Amino acid sequence: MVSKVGTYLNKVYQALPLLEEILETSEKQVSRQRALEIATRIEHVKSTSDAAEYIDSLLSFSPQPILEFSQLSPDKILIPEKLNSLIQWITKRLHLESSNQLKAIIKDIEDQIKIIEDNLQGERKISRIDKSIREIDRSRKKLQEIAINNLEAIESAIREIESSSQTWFMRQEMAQDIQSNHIEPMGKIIEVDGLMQRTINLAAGKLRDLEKSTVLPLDIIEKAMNLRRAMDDTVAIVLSKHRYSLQQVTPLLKSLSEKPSKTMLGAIEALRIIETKGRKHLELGKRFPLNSWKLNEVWNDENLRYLLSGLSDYEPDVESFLMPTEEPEMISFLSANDVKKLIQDSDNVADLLEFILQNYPLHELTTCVDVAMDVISQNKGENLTFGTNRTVHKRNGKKIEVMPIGIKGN
Amino acid sequence: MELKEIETIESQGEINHSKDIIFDLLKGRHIFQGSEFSELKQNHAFYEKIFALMDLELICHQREFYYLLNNSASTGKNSTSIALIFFVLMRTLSIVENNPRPNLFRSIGFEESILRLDNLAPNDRGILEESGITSWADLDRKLGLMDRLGFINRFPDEERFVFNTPAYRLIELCESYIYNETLEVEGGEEE
Repeated sequence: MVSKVGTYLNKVYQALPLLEEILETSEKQVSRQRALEIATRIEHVKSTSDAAEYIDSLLSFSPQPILEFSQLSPDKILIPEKLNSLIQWITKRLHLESSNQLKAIIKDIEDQIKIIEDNLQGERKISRIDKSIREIDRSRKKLQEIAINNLEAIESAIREIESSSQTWFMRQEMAQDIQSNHIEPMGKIIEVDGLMQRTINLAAGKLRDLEKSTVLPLDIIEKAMNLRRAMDDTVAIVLSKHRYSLQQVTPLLKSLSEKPSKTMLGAIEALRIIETKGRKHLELGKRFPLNSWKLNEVWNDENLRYLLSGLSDYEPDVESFLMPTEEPEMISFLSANDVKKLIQDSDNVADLLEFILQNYPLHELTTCVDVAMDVISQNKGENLTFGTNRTVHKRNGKKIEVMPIGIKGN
Repeated sequence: MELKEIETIESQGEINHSKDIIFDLLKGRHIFQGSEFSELKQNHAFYEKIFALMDLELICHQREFYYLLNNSASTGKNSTSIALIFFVLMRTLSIVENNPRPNLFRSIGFEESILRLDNLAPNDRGILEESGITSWADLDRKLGLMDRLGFINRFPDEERFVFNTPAYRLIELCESYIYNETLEVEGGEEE
């Protein structure tokens, strides 16, 4: 018997690198090919044929196999449930217990309370009361154990989630699974006024009844008293462990509860398309074209000719750029004598410059001013008249402001 | 000969970098900053006509960057590898930084080591390997390409990179797949 256990445990010890690797996977199972690859890490397994032989030896090991094929996916290899639990227990990779197990334990306590109650009133079978006290104590220990194990399992699961190479989405799912499938239903049972508290109160009441009994042996009364105190401790431990579990998982859930950005969702969706339908379905040529061109490939003489023909007909919109349309008009020379002859044919000229400008409309302002000055200088002072108000004369964008000087007529 | 409606090419501002602008855009680069960007912005219509002569479309993205497109969409190797690197980067950030909403334009940027094949999840590594990126040297070349095209700025001494505004093309590409999925779902319901 001992040698069989020894042989088995030795074989397990030798296979630990492989077993631990299998336990590290999310599904706790690997393909045969992967198992062969990992097996080569084991000391005496040198070649692929050695590895195949080694894996086969683990699959058929007696008295119990160390590996087995999955019943759900027959091409996958996993660790038998009992050995799996042993390794998980030793390595503290504990399973999270379901809340149903907790309910079952509480139901057991309720049943034992009923038995105590019946035996307090009826036949008073002391041995039955004694057995029920021991049963309740066993249930109490189980409750405490589940609370402690669950906390360790939650801590381990959180570490696994935090260091996981799974996507954010997978980790969110894993954390939510712990929260909604373990912590919340456990909470409903454990928290104040929950099923556990009500049952424990009921049990404590019955145990007090036992303590007050005058007919029960002292050792039973003492056991009842000890159990009642131990149950108080257990409630405190279970509550504190549960609250601590909640504290552990809440920040993780909070960090994972943020809604992903559209970019993140789109990128993950694109990768899903690649993994399920293939890269072509991404339509990258259409959705994300990236090209480069060589000038000699895109330059086109015909287009250039078109551009140049456009330029040849191009008319710039410049107002001042006006070409003369006809021969310039000939303007005769203007002399002081011409002006004097005109004055002689006239009456008094009140404003000589105005007079010249009116009679010679084609001549520039400066020419008219020069001629006016000549005429004035050639007349004696008594022939001249002087105006009192300044007058402005304009021609071809030029202007002059002068006091009017006139000439008396003959 | 039938003449098209007469068109003229006029610039609206100074033209000092036309050679760089034309050649950079023809190389597939995105122009998003500097004097070339200012000149393009000021003379958009002018350059648009220049490129129209080559049957190329000058795109002015609403996030203020320019790039060229032509009508014949071709599945260039570059577009595939750059898109895949971006998708993988996003999924990797969701794992490594535990962040479903990473700020892509953060000034500190991203460490290049995040994309080293050894550091990627096996499925992401497989996707890149299938597209021909099987070593760091391959990935390094692709990051260099992304830098030249204007999507990122690399800081080789620090082995980091930051995203530039043209990365909005990659962001919009990602978002287009969410829309696509919605359409597929809606289509499925109709059937």
